[in-house]
Amino acid sequence: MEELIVLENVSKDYDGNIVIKEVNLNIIKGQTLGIVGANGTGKSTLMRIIAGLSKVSDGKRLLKSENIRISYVPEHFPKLNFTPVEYLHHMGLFKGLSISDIDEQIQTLFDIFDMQLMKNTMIKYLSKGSMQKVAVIQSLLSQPDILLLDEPLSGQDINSQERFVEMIQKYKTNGVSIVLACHENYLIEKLADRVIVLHDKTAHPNKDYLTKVIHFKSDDLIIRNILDRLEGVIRSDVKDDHICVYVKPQNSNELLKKLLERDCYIISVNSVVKYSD
Amino acid sequence: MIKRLLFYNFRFYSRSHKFIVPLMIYLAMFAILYSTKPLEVMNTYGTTAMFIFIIAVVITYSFMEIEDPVQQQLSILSLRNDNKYYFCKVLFIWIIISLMSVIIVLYPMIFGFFNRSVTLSDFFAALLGNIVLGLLGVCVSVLFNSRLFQSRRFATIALITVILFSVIQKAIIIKYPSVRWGLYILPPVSFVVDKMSNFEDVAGISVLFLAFASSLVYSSILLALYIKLMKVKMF
Repeated sequence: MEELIVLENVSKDYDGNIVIKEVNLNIIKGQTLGIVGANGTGKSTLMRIIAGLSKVSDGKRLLKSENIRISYVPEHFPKLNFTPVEYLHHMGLFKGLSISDIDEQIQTLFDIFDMQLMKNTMIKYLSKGSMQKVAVIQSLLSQPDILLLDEPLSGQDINSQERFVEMIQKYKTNGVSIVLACHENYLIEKLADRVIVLHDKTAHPNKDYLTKVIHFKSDDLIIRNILDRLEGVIRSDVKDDHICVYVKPQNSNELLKKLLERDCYIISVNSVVKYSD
Repeated sequence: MIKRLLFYNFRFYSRSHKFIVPLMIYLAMFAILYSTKPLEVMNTYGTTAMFIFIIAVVITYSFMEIEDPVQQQLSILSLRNDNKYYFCKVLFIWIIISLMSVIIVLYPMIFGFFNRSVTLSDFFAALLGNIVLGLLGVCVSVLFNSRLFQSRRFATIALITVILFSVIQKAIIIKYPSVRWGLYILPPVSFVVDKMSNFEDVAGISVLFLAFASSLVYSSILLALYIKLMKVKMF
């Protein structure tokens, strides 16, 4: 496994406020690392540190390879006084692409992300989702060694999300290392080879990082009695005929199937980050 | 790549409308400077050089805040060359200032505002002086950006103080000679303006060039310091 970047005991504080503390992680060539954690746990800071854009307060960021090309999709793309076409031309030229390559890439990516109608509208007038698409497109103009995605799908429509996943899978196949910080659990489940959880200002390795919570309604006594003994069930909370069951992600489909077979009424299925040593 | 960066900065700046206020100040100062005639040649150019220095400070101060920090991060990652990125910001503003310098130097010559004819050495001394002090203004002002100074108020006050003392440096030294060594640390605006205003013919060119050289060295040190600090501070 070829390491590209290694973070050793990295800490970061802003004016004494610790954002992340003693984080150790490595970016491995061709591997997708998912970073999960609640809002404000330092995911974006960690992304900037990996990118070399933010100075570490303590610890080391080691580059294991020369001339690593990094592309980055920030969580909050700025409202710019450029049209997407103008902006992407500038970014493409900065990346060293030729005008014809940029034009070709822009056309392809605009088609994929349904941006043709907006290509000449000032970015500052675009919706949040469309601005995020511009951010994603600029990161995909050329193939990097490391692709950093900070909430890449925020505000995007379902079609674009699916196409985005397809694009990223293609990049994965081409050996691009991807670091993905997002709230969309399905994206992590679909793309990540490895997951770390940012919790209590530090990174924890993946251990049941996502627990499924199935909320259903049933007065079936049999299901109530056997629920805690079913495979993967961590615990269940029963209140009248409402039941919340916490189950390991790999067992959630099987459990859902059983519940539906017993005519249970499924109210919701959610994921929560629940780390335990 | 430098050409591409300059065009990018130009687009950013021209669409930001941040140029309107400095442009109005420039035009107002222009009108005040050339409202009467006849004018002393090198005295006038000494004044325009000081004025160009101040305009350079104002333009740079606003220009440095145009590009959103997130966009700065994306530009730097795409370029993979921080030095070039920061250098081109300075170069872009210096080009604008140099154009302003050319106009402010040529205008009174073309429209006959002077009490005598302008020699070639006058012209080059005036043009160089304006451009050199323009660069000095840019290099002083870039250091007072919001990434290096979290408090905009403090940055503004500190910048105004530096500018004020640089402009009146000579007057203070004449009145209080004991503090002269402390004031030599300031940008040599007063020194250059003084040498420009007293420039009479080719015989005095070495003193003038020494003044320009000191300003260029000072600017280079500030430019290197700016790039270094931006790279160390990061985001």
